[in-house]
Amino acid sequence: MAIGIKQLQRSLRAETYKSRNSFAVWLSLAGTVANTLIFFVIQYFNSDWIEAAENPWWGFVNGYYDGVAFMMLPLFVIILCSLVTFMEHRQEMWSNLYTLPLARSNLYWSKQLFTLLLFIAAHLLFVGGVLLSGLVMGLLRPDTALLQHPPDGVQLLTLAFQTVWTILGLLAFHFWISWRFTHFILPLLIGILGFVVVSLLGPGWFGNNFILYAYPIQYMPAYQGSITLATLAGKPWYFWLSPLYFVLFSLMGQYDAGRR
Amino acid sequence: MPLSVATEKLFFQFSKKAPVIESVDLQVPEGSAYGILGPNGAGKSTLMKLLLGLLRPDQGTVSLFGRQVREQLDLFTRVGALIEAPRLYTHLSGRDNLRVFATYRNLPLAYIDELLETVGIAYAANRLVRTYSTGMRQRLGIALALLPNPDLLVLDEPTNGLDPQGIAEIRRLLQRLHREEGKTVIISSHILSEIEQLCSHVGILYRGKLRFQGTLQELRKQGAGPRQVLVETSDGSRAAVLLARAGYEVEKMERNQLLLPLEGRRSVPPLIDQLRSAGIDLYQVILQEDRLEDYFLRLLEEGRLEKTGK
Repeated sequence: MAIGIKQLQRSLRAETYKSRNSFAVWLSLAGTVANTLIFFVIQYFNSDWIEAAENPWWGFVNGYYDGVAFMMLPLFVIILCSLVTFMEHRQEMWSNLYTLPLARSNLYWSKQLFTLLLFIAAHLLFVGGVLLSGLVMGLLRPDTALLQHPPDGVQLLTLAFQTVWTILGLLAFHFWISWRFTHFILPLLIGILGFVVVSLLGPGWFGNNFILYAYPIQYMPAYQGSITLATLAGKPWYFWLSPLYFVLFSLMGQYDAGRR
Repeated sequence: MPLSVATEKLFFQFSKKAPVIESVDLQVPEGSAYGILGPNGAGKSTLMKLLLGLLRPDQGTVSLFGRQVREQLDLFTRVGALIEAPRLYTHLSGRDNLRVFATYRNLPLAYIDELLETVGIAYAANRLVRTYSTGMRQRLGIALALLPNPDLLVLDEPTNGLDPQGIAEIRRLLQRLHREEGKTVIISSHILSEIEQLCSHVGILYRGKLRFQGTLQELRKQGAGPRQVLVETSDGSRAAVLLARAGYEVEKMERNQLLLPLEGRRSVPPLIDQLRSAGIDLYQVILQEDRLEDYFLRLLEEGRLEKTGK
């Protein structure tokens, strides 16, 4: 067990070296910064979020999350998974990787874990960007009163946690199909198709609880303040299904990678 | 002699139409330089992939260092490989490529610079691989194979894309690894001369079947066919008649040149005496031995005829 964890750590370190200068890292950086800038412009010209609430940060932060959850988030995860695995597909690196004294499951998990960590890092950057945007917005538009109130850390943490938590299943599924299919476009098409279907079905339908692509648009309306032990029981289906899907698709992917 | 690599009745096919590897019993002695020789499409790369566990055989077994490959990951700490074209991360530098794989293998990073020096691309260590030439990529691919300081080196056409100087350098490197460091080296090639210069053992693969396996000396011995002698005289027609009467099978070549089959070197002086005693001048006598290449081609031809059922 200890040896397995050490090997996983080494593989994860190798993934980090490998990602230098890669498209996946550039997408995480540039995509997140671009998103933050786009929503800053939208928030600047839109005053709907300035509610008569106790803290103007609530509406400001909600506006950002509403925007990314609808399309950017699933699309980002889909492209990220494709790019991380495509690094190996493009140069057919598998013949090098599979002649290493490492189990294929180790390679699979380390790469998937790296993708998840990259997603989390990009999301933390997004949170930082939202906070910075709020300060700039407060300077540019004093009527927002953003500088008179501190940002709600609990709201930000809860939303950040929910984002990562509800994306787990989608990430595991897309990572698996991106690993499986060497063609970059195919997983992307599957992802876009999934996204279009859930968009047509709308966020209110109960069946969305079982469709991975619907989770990002499901969790925003469900935001009811911070998550506590008392509120966990009332969490919708998708909140619990996402980590279960993560485990299921990770194990299926691991089996598939070992079998081929 | 213990074997570094052994396969038993190895069989593999991509589709049900035709097997790519058919009943191959490869035996690579420890410390040997083994050349897998065959024309394009013979199954050399597929065989190498099977040896490395990149493909699973439909039948038969592969053993490395006396242990079956399947599920024996630790065996690969002793193996370095370069299969087909070098597989590299083009968005990274040469040094970083080696660093990635050194990290995977838990090897000291200090060794990397020495390795880059060995394969002759230390000057481009920090350049992105996408700016490398084909030859430089090939050298980096070889460096990746050498990274674990392996006991067994499996190289698929390692001199592909190299210029003559590069070919000579890589050959010298492989010779050193084999002769001085005692490593077992398996290389594949479709060029006989390359195998002749580098290998102690050879396996000739044609359409998935091993047509010959043994030492290079054994191949030469087996390949040494009837010798021929080319004779150029002052009067080709008269010489041909004279030698035909004496029982030689004479083949008249252009001008005054004759080609005759001979048992051995000892039969050359009587032949000369006969011509000289008839007053025919000799301008040149050239012994022609059956070359290894001819034998190789003959083996391939036999294989071709066997396949087509002629």
